[in-house]
Order: sequence, then structure tokens, then C-alpha cells
Amino acid sequence: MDIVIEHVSKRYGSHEALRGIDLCIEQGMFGLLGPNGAGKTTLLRILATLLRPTSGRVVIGDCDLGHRTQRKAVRAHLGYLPQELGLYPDLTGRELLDYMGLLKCLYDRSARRRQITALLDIVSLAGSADRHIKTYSGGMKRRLGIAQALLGDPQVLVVDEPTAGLDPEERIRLRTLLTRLAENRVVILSTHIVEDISQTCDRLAVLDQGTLVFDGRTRQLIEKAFGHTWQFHAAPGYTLSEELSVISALPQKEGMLYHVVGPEPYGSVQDVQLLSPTLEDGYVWLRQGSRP
Amino acid sequence: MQIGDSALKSDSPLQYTSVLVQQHIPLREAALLARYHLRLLNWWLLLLMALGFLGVGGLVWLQLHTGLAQGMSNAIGISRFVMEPGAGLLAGMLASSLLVGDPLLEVMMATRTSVYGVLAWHALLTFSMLLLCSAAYLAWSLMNGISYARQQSPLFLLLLWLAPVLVMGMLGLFGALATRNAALGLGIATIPLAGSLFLYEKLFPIQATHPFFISYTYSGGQDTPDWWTNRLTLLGVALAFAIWNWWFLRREERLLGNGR
Repeated sequence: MDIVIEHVSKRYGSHEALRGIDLCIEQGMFGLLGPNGAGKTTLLRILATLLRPTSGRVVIGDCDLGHRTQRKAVRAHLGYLPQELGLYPDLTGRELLDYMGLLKCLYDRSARRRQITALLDIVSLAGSADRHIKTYSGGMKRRLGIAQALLGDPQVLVVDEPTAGLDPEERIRLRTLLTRLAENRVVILSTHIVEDISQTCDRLAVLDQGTLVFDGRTRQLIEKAFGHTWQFHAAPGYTLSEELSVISALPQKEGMLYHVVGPEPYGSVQDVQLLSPTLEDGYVWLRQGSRP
Repeated sequence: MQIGDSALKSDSPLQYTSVLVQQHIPLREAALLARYHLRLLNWWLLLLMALGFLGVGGLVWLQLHTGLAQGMSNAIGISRFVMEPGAGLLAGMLASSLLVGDPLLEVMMATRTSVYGVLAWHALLTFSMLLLCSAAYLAWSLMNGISYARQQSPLFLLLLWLAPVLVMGMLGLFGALATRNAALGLGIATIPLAGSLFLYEKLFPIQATHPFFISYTYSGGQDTPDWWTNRLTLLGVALAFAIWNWWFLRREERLLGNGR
């Protein structure tokens, strides 16, 4: 199933959250990257049928989200995990999924409960399914959120900042799960954590201040930073040029080891090396180019 | 790929089978859903309501059985308060927390049931509970000889309760939706009721205000000719707020914050 986004804009009063976005998203994992306030959540909410664009058109499969009846039809095949997921603390994980299954019109009780058991297994919550949600850790709640989004076997899964606030182990676990889920559906992952995208997505789009600044393959974004990624030593008190964006600064015995993106460093620097860029370098280079 | 309502055969690598999406809810599943909704509604508000009716019932019983001269008069006053502004206040309180503040609001908006479906379930269950408590109290009070008017037909008794309940309920929901805050919603709903109760003496001489008194029966207007006008006006106001609420919910996105 393809998702086509044509000239989509969204205004909140005088604030323009999205400006003329054009995207085509195919099956597999698709990353949506951008700083806070870039418009990622707005775009995801439009895809999740919660918001209507001020102008433009979104088509999921054969359904135009501009029509009320088609929006409702899309909801049967859509899984959504919002950025801020609230849960009912006094329900157990299994009860919450059962309740969500009923809201998703999955009325065959035995089939629904079989699916819930399978989903709890997939998100590694089978052992704690009958515990109250108030006893769950942050990571367990996010995984339960993924499980509710997967109820009904949706063909489109929209997840907003799923790894926010998780410890490294939980983040890896969740990323692996999303990658596996993307094998037979569209998974749209929005985040401002570049590592999450680099570990999971082959295609991505970058938003900045409501504008689409990149749409393509991950390696294409990495390639943008070829010849612009540097490592060098500098003495204490060295002042970096404003043209350079620091990716990392590691304290050394005498001075600092810098990893930067930008033009070749000059001045009192030593051991200047050109590095192979990462996705983070490509993203920072792109952001540098889009600065006013 | 065509999106339809048919079950989709899953070829998921995660090995879980898809479930048929159905249009009509079987009775057994409706009962289960009702049970979940009841658990998720503010059960303490419902408990408070039931305890409130019981407490007032006890107070009225004491008034009737203490043998004092003013006993019956006090019991009538209390009962009129319970069935009119009291029930209205409860309706406003319950309606303001029907939807706003639900932690899963954003997720449920993206389901096929949508906010309309959830709101309908919550409203049905909440107002059924209020109706049950009110009907039990009314029956008990009538059996104990309490009168609400000189000529109290079933329609009179229905409108005595229904008009303030609908006005306050719709106003509570309106306030909560407009402010995205249940407490503020209740606050907004209580303003006309408080005005009706506390400014009664100042406003009553002004004939034009009579149709808008929410506590018109409690304030002594039950036997006046404009009591029916008052009830019909209140129902009209409730209808106006109902239309506004419906219009508001048609653009569900107003319920969301401005996450960008």
C-alpha cells in the first residue's frame, strides 16, 4: 500500500506548521526526521486521520483522507502510537488490548483474544500481561502502545517518537521490533533521534520549520556530508569557527578531539582528518545548509 | 491496494492472524464494552452521586420523622432541590468529565469507534446511572407524601428533572470541550445555576428572566403559568448547546493540543 502526500499544508491560526509537503511512502520502514517543532507530529496526525490539512491531499491506498467515509475506512487498517501515550493504570495490559480491540471493531472474541496473546508475545509482555499497567516501566508501556497499534493487523503503522525516554536496551529492542514489523506493512517512524533512523530506515524525509528539506534514501543523505566531515585535535582555549557544527568533543590529555561537519578546519589545529560521514553528519550538514 | 472491510489474510513474519472487522457489535461484546467503559469512567463520581442521593434520602427521612412542624415543608424543599438544581449539578459534573482528560483520547480518535462512539457510550452509561438514582429517589419521595407541585403529572415530573439535567449536562460538556479541561467545564456549567440560586431575589421581579431560571421549581415557580415556558426554554437552550457540541466534535482535531 502506498501513501501519497500532495502539497499538504497545515496552519494553526497564524502559525504555518506544514508548508506544501509532497511525499510518496511505500511499504517498509520510513523515517521522519527533524528538530522539535519541525512539523513531524502534525504530519503524523494528518496521516493518522486526526487532523485535516489546511490544503493539499493525502491518499492512503485508494482512500482520499479528505472524505469522511474514506477516513473511517482507513482507520480499520491503521495503527497509531502517539508521542504522549496515556494508559489506564488500573487495567491490566491484556484488558487494555481487549478494550482497544473492541474500539477497533474486532468483535470476534476468541479471534481477538488469540491475537492479543500473540501480540503480547511479540512485544515481550506475555509474562506481565495480567499485571496492572501502573506497575509497568516506561519501556513496557511503549511496547504495550505498539501492541495496541498492531491490533487488527494494520497495513499502516504510524509511530511518533517511540524511543523517547527509553534506556538503550529498550530502544534497541523497540527498533528491532519495528524493523521486523515493516517487512509486510508501511511503518512510519518519526523521531528527532538520528540513530533511531540510521538503525532502521532505508528511506527518510527531513522536515525543518514545516518544510520538506530532504526526501530520499538514507545513504543519499550520508553522501551529502562526504568531504565535509572532519576530525582534529585542538589545544585548550581553541575557538571553533562558526561555520563548523560540532558532532562530538572528546577531552584528551592535551586539548580536545573534535568531530565536526563543515568546511576544512584551519588555524591552530592538528591531525586534521577527513572522516567517512554517518547519517548524523549528513543530517547536520543538511541542517547547516538550511539555516537562514 | 483496495481498502475494504474484509478480513485481510496476514502473511506477517510475526505470525499473528488478523481479525475480522465487523460493523455491528454482538450483544455479548456490547456488554463487555459497557463493563470496560464503566470501569474507565470516573467511578468515584458515580459513587459520590449514589451516596449523595442516599444521604439526602436520610436527611429527608429525618425531617419527616422528627415530628417537628416544619418537617414536611423542609422535606419538600430538599426534595425539590435534589430533583432540580441538584440533579442538574450532577449532570454538569458528569458531562464535563465524559471525554476530556481521557488519557487514551488521541489513540481512540484514530479507531473506527472514534470520539463519537466513545462519547455516546460514556453518556449513555453515566446518564442511565443518574436516571436510576433520580427515579429511585423520586419514587421514594412520592411514596412518603412529598409533592413537587399542586398538579404533578408524569410530564411535569419528567420536565422538573430533565430540563436542568439536559441544560447543565450540555453546558458542562460545552465548557469541557471549549477549554479542554473538565474542572473548568464544570465551573462554566455552574455559573448559570449559581446565578439562578443566589440572584433569585434580584432577578425574579424581572419577568423576562423567568424562562431562564434553572432552579425555577425550587425557587417556588412550580405553580405559576410560566413554569412550562421556563421548561421549554431550558430545553431549547440545551438543544442549542447540543448542536454546538456536535459541531465542535465534527472537527475532532480541536480536542488535541498543538503538537507540532
